[in-house]
Amino acid sequence: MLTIVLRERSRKNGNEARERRIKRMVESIIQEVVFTDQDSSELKDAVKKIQRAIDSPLYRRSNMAILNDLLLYYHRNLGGEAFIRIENLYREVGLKQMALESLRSDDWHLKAKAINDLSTMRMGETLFEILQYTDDPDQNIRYEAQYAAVKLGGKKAMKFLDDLETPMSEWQQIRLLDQALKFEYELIDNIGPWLKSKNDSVVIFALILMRHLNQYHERNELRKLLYHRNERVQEKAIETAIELAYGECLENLYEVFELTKNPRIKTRVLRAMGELGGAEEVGFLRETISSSKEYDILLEAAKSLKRMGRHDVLRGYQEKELSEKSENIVKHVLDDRI
Amino acid sequence: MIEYDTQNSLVDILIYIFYFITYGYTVFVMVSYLALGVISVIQARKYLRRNTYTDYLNILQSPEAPSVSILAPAFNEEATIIENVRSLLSIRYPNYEVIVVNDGSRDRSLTMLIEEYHLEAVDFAVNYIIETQKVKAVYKSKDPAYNNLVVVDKENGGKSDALNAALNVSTGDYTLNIDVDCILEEDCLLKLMKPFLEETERNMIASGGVVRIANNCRVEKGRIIDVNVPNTMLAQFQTLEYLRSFLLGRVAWGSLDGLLLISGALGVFQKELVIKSGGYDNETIGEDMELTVRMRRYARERGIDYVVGFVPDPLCWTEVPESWSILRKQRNRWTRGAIETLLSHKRLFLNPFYGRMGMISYPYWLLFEWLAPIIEFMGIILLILFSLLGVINISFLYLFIALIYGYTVAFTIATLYIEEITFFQYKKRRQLLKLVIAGILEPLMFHPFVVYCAMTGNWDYFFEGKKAWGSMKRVGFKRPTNRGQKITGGGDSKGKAPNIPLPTNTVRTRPSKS
Repeated sequence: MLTIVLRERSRKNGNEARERRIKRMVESIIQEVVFTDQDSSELKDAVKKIQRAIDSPLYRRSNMAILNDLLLYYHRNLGGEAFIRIENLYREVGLKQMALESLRSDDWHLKAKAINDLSTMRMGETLFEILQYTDDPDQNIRYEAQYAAVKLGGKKAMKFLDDLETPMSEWQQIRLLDQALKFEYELIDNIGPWLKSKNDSVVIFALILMRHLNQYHERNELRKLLYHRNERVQEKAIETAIELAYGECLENLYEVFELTKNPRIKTRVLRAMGELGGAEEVGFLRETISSSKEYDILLEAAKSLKRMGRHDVLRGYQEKELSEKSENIVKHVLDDRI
Repeated sequence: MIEYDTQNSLVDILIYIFYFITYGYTVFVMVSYLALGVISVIQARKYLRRNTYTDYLNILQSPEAPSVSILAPAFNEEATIIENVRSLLSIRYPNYEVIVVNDGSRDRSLTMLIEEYHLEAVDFAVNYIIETQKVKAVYKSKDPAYNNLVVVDKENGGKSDALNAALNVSTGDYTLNIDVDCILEEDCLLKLMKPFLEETERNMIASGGVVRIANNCRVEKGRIIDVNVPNTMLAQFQTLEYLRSFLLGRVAWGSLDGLLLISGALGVFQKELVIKSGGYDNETIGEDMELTVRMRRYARERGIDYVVGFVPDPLCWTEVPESWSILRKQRNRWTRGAIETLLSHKRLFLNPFYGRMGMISYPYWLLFEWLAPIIEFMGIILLILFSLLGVINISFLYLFIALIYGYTVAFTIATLYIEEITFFQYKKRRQLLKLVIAGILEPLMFHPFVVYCAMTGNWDYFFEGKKAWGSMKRVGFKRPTNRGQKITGGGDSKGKAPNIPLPTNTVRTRPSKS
């Protein structure tokens, strides 16, 4: 057994040495391609040199993987013209072809990695190939394909959300949002159907998009979602209403406050009142501070008054009008250092 | 040797029972370890394969990242607190706060924090949603650079009480509970939060990560920059023990959703559920295990479809005792903690209502964590007795001992192999050889000692009625700020003081369980 461990160690050391050697050989060629203007014959020469450096009867695939990682590293850390040159190099040295071959592999991790590489290297021509995996039964492949589709195809590629039945994780939503934030501002027509989706994760993601991409046009649908059966959706809908400054829904928010038993929803409603409300809400918030006993509710109501700039209301309570707890909370909120 | 005619005698029956229990149990242990090992390898490989294309930058830049409160209880930590807090403040995550609780320290911990981070007392309204000792003051920094730092000064109440106080002032949706003397990897929060964000089917209530040993590692500015194998044999034994436990044990239990323990040194919890299930129990000495079991029970009994996750990456580095006496106290306490938790949740035992927790995890802990040392101890005594009486075949006995020894060493080497092909932390050949030698000696030197500690733990719990933390000489290490320095353990094998002067106060922070 010890022999196996030592052999593994030797193998690893050998691989590391080979990696260092290949990097030393190809890095200067890559830098030359990336940082200097080269014509097509010079590029061909560079490709030949790189292929010679990685050529090996035993380790060709592994050497290609080292080259792949190196190009991905450069791509992540550079921009502008260098981007396009690295992408060209990626195609020319055959890495795109290798990724497409991996796409047809039976191993989920090879497929997922290939999709990720193709999207990182912005291989737009592979979009249609990738799109067929957006509803793959394997979650890893499906998520990578969805992410790649949005990255390569932009807003239009988000159409897969129209009939997405599988739940989308928060992690995936964060990744897709990261890409969506790079879109140029434009109205997204499909937000309406997504907000009506039976898949709650799609509804939540649509609300996130509304909020971060300022999609005002579906505000009526947003009003309905304030009463959604899923409390996570309700919470997101209130947060979206705040971000979009949707003051018209205040009436509905009073109703939601009465109907819900979830303190998280109640605190979100109070926050919305502080952000969107006027004189009428000041009275409601003041009353909440006098009558409520729950810490979170009291704290949020007081914070909302502060947000509205109504320090006078917070300071204006009569002696013994508030419980000791409420008094402490008011002091807490008035302390700007917290 | 005296020959006995044991046919159909009482001795004969006793020997058969003995054979059945000893050999059956041994084979059962071996097979279950092997099964857990195989599951762990599959899971670790899957995790690493996914990591080849996972970009944590997405969440690092995201406005949608959930909020996390890091809860760090501190008691007499003046030697390291400034650097520890600095290291916590430099963790990579977009939306977090650090809550340090000074649990009635008698040294200069609080004063040093006030001076270093320009703290001032604020009018913080503490929500005593979980009862704790009185909070004397809450401090925030005048410097906007430390805007996410909150320091709570409270009367001494122990680690659980300090964690509960931190929970009361926290604002995050999740809490990362740590031992303040641990070194966290910079991206540990990103990696620990990922399972929560990825889960779509069930409610993830907690997640743990791998804890590794920091003795003799080189640390700079609160970060591990060079991983080394500890210098002392005792710490090397524990390195192997941690490797087996985290790399092969917990990863497998995590994938089977059978984890009963999220280490107190590193664990993320869903705050709402921690509070609903009552927070940390002040009366227990194994507060980390007790909370994990109670949260699971709470979720199950209320019909919440939950899961407890585990991240196979090494995310946290802790110092282990380098003195036998400190280790004895630690192991004794762990044993008492495990017994206490297992007994207070005994209704889980083989109760199908609790699913895998009741049918697999709990019986496993009972058999292999609590009763294993007792069975092993009794087995050895009986083996010696029977062989002296000549009622068992001596050559068979030798063969049996050789089998167990061989299996243990082989299992340790297999663990090292798995470490090589997965996380590969010990890169120098000499380090590997040190661990192999430790692996050969461990069953002869370390394991009997651990069994002895567990036996005394059982004795103390049941016959001495010891249920408190007790006191123990502080274990600590110095983390230099400007230059690399190796971590040295608290005291050497002869019970000498550590090579860096440290206060000899009692500690309340519980080292992570292996």
